[in-house]
Amino acid sequence: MKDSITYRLPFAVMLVLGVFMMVQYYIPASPVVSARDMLLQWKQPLNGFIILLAIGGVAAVHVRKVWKQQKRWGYSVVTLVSMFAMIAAGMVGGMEEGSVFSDWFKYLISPIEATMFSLLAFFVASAAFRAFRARSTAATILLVSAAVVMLALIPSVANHIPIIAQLSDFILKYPNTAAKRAILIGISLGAISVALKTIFGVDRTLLERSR
Amino acid sequence: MKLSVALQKLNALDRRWIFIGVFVAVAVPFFIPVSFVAEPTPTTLTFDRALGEALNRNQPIVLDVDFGPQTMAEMEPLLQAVLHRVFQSKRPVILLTFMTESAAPLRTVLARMEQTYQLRYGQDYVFLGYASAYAYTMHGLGTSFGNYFHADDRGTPIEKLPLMKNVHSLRDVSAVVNIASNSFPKFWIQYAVTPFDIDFLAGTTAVQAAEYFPFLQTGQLKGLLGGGRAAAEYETLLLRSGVLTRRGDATRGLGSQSLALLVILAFIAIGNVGWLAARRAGRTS
Amino acid sequence: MDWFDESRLAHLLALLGFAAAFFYFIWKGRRGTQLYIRPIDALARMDDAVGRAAEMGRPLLFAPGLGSLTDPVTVAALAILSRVAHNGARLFTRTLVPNYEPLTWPVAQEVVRQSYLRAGHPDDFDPDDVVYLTSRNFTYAAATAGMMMREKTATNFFVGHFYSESLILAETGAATGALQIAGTDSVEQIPFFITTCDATMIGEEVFAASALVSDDPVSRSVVKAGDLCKVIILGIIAAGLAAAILLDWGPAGALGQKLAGILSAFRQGDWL
Repeated sequence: MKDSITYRLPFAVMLVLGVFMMVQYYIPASPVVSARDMLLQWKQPLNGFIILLAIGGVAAVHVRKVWKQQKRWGYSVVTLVSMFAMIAAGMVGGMEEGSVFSDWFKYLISPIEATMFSLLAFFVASAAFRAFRARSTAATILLVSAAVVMLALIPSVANHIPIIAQLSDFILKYPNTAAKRAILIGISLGAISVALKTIFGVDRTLLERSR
Repeated sequence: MKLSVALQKLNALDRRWIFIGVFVAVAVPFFIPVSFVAEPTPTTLTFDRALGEALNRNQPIVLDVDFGPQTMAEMEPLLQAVLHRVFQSKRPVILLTFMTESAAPLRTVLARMEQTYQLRYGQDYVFLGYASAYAYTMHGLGTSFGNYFHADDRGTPIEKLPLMKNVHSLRDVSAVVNIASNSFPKFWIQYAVTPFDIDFLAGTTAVQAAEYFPFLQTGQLKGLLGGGRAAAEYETLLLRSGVLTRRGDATRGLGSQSLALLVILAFIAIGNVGWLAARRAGRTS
Repeated sequence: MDWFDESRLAHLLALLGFAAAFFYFIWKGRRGTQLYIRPIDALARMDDAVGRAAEMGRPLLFAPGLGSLTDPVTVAALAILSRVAHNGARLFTRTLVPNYEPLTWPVAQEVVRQSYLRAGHPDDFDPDDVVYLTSRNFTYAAATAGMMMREKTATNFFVGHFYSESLILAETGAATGALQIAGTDSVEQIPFFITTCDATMIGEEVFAASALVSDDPVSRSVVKAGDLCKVIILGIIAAGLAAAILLDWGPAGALGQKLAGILSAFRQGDWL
């Protein structure tokens, strides 16, 4: 089985394309650039198929729920009706300003999503309430830094007590940036090693399992 | 004794009280206007200087706008301020987006700008519309616009747009500005700015801004505006330089933001008092 | 025709250096050399967290982030999912996997299916436990938070790339009393996870954890390649720091200038 072409082909495709995309970065010659451009353009139509997969996925789960009358199947009906109504509105009436699709987007989806986003203000407050306790020296430093940065964001504080603004600027620019940069370096190295593992077929677990 | 018991209760305050506190803090300034002025910080001044330099180079700039309805309250004032600055300078602008839902609100904003500054579409600005596969397109624009955008948002082939006559790739623009609520500035840096050595500026949400400070120091990012607060600072700057004539939405939002921060700080203090009381009670018992 | 962009020489050398370390450690791994890797707290707690859910008789929830399959962190998250789902299946505990990316969804489904198979209970797998929800992040957050509330998940895992919805997910989980383990490469979301979760894998710990959960010694040894490169990067940073200090320090100014010259020439490829 492991010698079969169908087993080896995906790894071969991945190896060739992965190595090509790595190497092209260093070669400005026009045949290489146009080959790269062609590959990049192939990716675009793939997105259309991904949308179909998504619609199929949502429909399959919820139709099954309604069919079997599972718990809370009424919500599945709402989901299915909303999804297909939105698709139909876009396909029939277009998506221009003033169309049904655009209005539904503007007056239904936008406020609902904006509401979800604004929940963050409440959740930040409750998370900060629980997390910022002077339990230890490190926790106290965290608490004080957070307080300074928050105070600096209030204009009347920042304008009247310049030291707060300067301290906040220092915290953001130096300790914060140093830590972020260290994390970023680690992430990048980790990401490169996962990428190399995938390209060179060292870690085949995911591909093998999904076959 | 009673006081200590009451204080201990604060340690595990029901989070609904916190929610009520934040709601009141955000809502009050809508009814009782509190006026604040956000003094521009060095970061905001650097953004304006870098944008000014790019605009002076006599080449078009690319403005990529990527935010949806969720973050509109935070991002739209920022976009407006940047657009005023750009259109006032009379330099050509190429707009595009990698998020489908950004297109409609952007068209509305552009229609307003067109009236305010008497802009001619196709010459002063173009909107290339939406492109999918952002990372690939960002990288691809380094060598060609035409391969990724065949027509603009109105369906005009891009070779028929006067503004695009001399713009073949990102090498023909003076800077890319990305106003985004997602990770797109990072992708721009990875896929276009570093490989093709392009001047790049970004406007992001406040949460995201902290991630981009390292790039600001390395020069991969020439300027950064982070969230509503930075937008308010930019509005102050533009008011002072005469680009804006009246204060914008970001400055108006400062009241809610400031009061909410004070309330959060108060709750943090309350939590610590409760925690200390609980710890002391634990010790004595 | 130009066949090599010289300005990218330093970049190429860095990549070749990393690749050399990568293959060297693969070779060592294949020879069966045992390499020490620092234990990761969140990983150690993962198995207990699954056990807790089994004791409580409630399901697990694993959110593999909002990244696509092209994001290395998503690949790492799916490897960790495989371990979580396998442990869950052994203890007859369901693993709910809400997906944001249509392409990640079938792969996640297959990973969980295989985990049930390896645990010896293929019939217990319910494909509806691994669902595609939506590709809008706050809608995803609402749907996933709803799942936590309705199913009363005992343990929540958030591993992968996240945006601002991270706090909505983790704070809802904290409110339901679930034990929570997170891991992300989204630098700006790490503070939110740290304040709301019981254990958090910071950045590269996710990649290291994904290698550690695999039984393959070769895969584990690759973590060492990153460590070696980090030591080299630290050396370069130290050299830069030394150059900056020496430049401002009268008697050693010339030495500092030389060091700075070498570093910047290397960066620009001038020394070729």
